Amino acid sequence: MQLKFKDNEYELKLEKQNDNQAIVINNEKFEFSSILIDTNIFSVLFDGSKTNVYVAEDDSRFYVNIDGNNFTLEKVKAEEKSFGEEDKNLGDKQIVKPPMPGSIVKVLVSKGQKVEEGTGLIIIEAMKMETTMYSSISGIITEVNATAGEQVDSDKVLLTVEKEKAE
Amino acid sequence: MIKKILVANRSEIACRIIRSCKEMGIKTVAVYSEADSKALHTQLADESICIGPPPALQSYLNMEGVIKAAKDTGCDAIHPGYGFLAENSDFNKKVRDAGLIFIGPEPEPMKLLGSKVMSRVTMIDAGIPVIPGMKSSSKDINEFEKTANEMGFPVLIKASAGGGGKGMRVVKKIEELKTAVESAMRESQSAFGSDEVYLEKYIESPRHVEFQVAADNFGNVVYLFERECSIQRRHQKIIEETPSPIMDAELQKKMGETAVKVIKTANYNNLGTVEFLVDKDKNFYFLEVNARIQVEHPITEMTTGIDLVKLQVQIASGEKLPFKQKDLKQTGHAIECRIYAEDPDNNFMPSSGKILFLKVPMSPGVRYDSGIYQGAEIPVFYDPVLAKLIVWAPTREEARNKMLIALKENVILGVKTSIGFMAKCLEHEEFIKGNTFTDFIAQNMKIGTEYNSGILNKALIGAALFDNQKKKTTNNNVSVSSEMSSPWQTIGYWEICTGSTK
Repeated sequence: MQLKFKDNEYELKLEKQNDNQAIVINNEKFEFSSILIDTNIFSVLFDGSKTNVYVAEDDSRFYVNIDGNNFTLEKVKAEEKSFGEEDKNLGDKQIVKPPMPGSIVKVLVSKGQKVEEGTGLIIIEAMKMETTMYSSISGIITEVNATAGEQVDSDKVLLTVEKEKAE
Repeated sequence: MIKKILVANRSEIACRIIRSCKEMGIKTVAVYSEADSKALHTQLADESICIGPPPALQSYLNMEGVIKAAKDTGCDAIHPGYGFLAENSDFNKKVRDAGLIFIGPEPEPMKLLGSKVMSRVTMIDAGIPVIPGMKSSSKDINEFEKTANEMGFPVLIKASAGGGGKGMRVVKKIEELKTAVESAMRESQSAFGSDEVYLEKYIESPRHVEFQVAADNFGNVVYLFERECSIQRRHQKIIEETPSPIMDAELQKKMGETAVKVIKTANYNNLGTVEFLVDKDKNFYFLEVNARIQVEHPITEMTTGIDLVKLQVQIASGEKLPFKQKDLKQTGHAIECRIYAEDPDNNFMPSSGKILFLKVPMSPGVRYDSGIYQGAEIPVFYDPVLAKLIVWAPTREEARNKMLIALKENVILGVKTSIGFMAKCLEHEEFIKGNTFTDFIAQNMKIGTEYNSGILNKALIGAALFDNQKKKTTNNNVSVSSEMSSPWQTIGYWEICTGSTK
């Protein structure tokens, strides 16, 4: 199984180790022992400390809680491994998507406009809170795909900013 | 006496109000939007009425719909909770015009105090200390610019009808002023149905200290001591405590009596909160009156032993205050943490989704005012409050420690929450010392949580175990169903125990 946490990917494999259990995380092996308490609850002895580990999942993530620390671990699907870079902002291009589903309050820029790094691009409202999204690069707005009042999902590309090509 | 109350709200506060009504033998009606048909408050109430589509403007803010639901179900009163229509004086008046009791103040004092600008002017005339700023709200950007330039930056833009940081913006330089005013106006319009905003001097590193007050319809007014709510993100409180770490008997009496004077000046009745900013020299400035039950009311309940929702209902029923100022006593220390669905690593961005797993902390002195349950959906349309965790202990340090343990025991999976972040706030030495100012988070807290690799590895182990277990269970289910076995055949030897002789 492959998971992602804060830009790092982790390849995981459980193993039996005599009476104990073990996990291989990115080629490094760790021993631990665990008891299944209930579907979402494991008592895990690892690194000299025993704590309950609470786990749940949805289609795209595992949610884990240990002693007040919450981890959201993204599932890395097989087809994404080779195309995983597609959505990244590659330094000379910024693809702006909403941080969460919401409605567009105002589009602050138009196609063809030159923007500086830090320029406000678009204002989105979700859960009664307005958020302004800013340009992370200096460049030109090459695409505007949003209008005020529109309801948008978090995977919609709203705007694209591209660096001007050096002549 | 009131017999049946419609609760015009949702989530934890609707549940909390319904429970007090039940204790008083009062029937309850919940209202809900189409996004909330399975919400907890609809389950607790005796009856539930759908009042419209998910957007609040078409449901929870729909005055006619709410009043009609109350009339149709034979209610004699409406409790507005906080937010939504709670401080809308037009709604207040319409409720009364429809022959119903509004559980809250009269429309006139609500209108006066609901406008931060009108209340400022009134309080200045009454000799109450206030923060310098614009005399009234304006649509003219030049007036904002003129006042800001006169007083000097930074300045604060506030919604006249506001609360909870909505429609509020700190502006550090003139170039940012116009955009901030426009944005504040839109946010205020969306949250409160009014785009009136004004500007005042921004006092740096103050404490937010507020006084709970109660006034009956016969002119009796008392204060139920203070709450300090300085730990805020986006100008919205997340951790509150009482007593305030700076409070002493003399200051408490002075501020409490000023709060009572504010209430009497406004001719205010029922429960209210008088908010002050306190600067480093313990000077205090009147901010505003919240003409409603507050989110953080439970810490006052824990330290005074008074159920404030019941008190609201009693006052609205025309009863006299059951106590005088000298009867009131503050005992021990209480802290509240507001548990929001939000991502502290991403500028506290609201998080929506489904509660996949929930474990509520339990211990003596721990209270959990919740609007969620395992399996509940958190819609994107409303304020993302999930629950409030409240603790009481004899001293501040014991309460802080109890809260830390309770936070760590509160497991919510499926949405991001600020639980871990609040635990780090409470562990910070400046919090321990009581150095709580409204810029506490900006000054002391690193945004972006860091974990040691040990605990991350343990989390990865947990995910791998869960995945492994799920595969096992799935395989078992397949084999059971393929053999068409009945549980009565697989359960093995059993007998009914009768007449145990132990």
